[in-house]
Amino acid sequence: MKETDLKRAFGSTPECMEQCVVRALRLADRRENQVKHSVTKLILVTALIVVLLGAAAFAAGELGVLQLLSIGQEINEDAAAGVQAVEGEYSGNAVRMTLNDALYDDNMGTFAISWVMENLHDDENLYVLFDGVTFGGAWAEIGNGRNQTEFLLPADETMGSMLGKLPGNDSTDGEIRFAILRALAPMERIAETETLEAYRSEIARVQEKGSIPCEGDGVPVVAEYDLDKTPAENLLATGQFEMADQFSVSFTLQTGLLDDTYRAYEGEKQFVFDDYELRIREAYMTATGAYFEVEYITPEAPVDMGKGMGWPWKVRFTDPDGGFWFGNAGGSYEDPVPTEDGRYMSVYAFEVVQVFYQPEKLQMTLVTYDETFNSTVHEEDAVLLHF
Amino acid sequence: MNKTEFESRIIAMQDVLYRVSVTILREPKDREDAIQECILKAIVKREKLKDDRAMQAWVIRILINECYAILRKNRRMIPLDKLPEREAENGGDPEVFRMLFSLPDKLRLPMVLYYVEGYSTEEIAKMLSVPAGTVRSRLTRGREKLKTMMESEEAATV
Repeated sequence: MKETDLKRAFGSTPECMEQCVVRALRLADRRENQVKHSVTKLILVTALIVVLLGAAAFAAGELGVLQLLSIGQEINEDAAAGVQAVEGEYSGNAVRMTLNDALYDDNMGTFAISWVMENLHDDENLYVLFDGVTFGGAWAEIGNGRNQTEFLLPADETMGSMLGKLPGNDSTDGEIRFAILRALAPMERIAETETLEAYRSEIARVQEKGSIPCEGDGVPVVAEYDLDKTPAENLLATGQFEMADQFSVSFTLQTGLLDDTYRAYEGEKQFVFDDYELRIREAYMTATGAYFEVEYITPEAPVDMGKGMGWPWKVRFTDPDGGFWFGNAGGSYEDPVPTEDGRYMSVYAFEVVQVFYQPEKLQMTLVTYDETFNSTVHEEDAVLLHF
Repeated sequence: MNKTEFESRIIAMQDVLYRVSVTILREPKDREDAIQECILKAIVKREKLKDDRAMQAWVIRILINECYAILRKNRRMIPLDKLPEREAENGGDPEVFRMLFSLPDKLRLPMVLYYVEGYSTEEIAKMLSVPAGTVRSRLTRGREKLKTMMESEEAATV
């Protein structure tokens, strides 16, 4: 192997990277115009919160679940229609936790929930660990979150939120679980270091003083981390934390609130090009997610990249107006099979689990890869899909 | 360089940004955070860029700093020697990946910048804030380690 073969280690650049870049550029744009726009949008956001949720127990401008489905100051108005008040509260010796709002997208199986957690002791370092959500006793798949886990709880009220997928057992009766740890020693921030040796020396220095070493944002450092234990168990094993509280809060999601946001693609589904064909098996989007299944038909079977590495193609769905319309997403393949007319068909399924808005049209473009994973975007064959 | 052109070049750099961030950071979310912060800073500071031709190297330098900032923050819970082994992603060759990521951090990044991204030792020196001689030394050691690894594997299969 030559040094120049090292590029093969990296594979293809994931689709989310382009979205990440575009998102950053848009955010930079917004920040440059922030003074001009923020006042107007803050008023709009505040008004929307009052309309949807009544008297809310959080600061103006603090979105609940919508914070996970919106980008910057632009809220996802389609998802806003599905925001529901949710009941549930826990009050213990250490914290008070009150559920704030929730959202459930029946068509995607996606849910989101937000809460307010209050540290009842101004002078105590309480560390929050999220233990998961169950529905009907089965664990939900956890996606993005804010102030969800592994942070020091400030003395004030803190809004947390998370987005995930239901376990598929048809239950909408959920239970969200937390562990709250109390620090038994002073917490000291370790200095920034350049080498691993210096980093470990810093940890040892703080520990020798009887303090808990932590990083800049108050996250405790564990010198000997046991991967078979949970984060809470590891912190408890240091002897420098005790369990302050462990609790769960039950809630029930309302269904059907986002059904009207379902949009199936009903347009042209077969696209024939010089040396390949694309057929849309299924494509739909909702206020929170989207799903696409596309067949790729070629005269010869796609090259096997070897070692089960997937197939050298995918399709990309972008907003032709340049908007950054989704966050988390992932793709999967069905292996190529011969067709009746002697060609080969493989299938790519692409699921978006975090949508920021519903585009009215999407540009579908084939992307292919060569044996060194260099990509070719077939812009000349891009097709416009109207939803 | 106007803003539109700057943005276009940033978009065109996404593959490079991805590979450099993978070289340093394990978690996709951390890489996205690093790249986002890098771009935000680059956009703000773009008027300080003296030579448009050096734009890509300049952006990568910012990215490397952002990646290291996240790396230092992430050492909070799991010491490096307890981390599970990394695996190739997105269709990467697992054998090449394993050999590349067996290299120590200090050798791996110069190897990627030189052999994968095609930068000169002088450009890499500026990105890493080390002398060019140090870069050449690290490249030599990186090549030697890769060669040793490949020879060991060939001997094992004989």
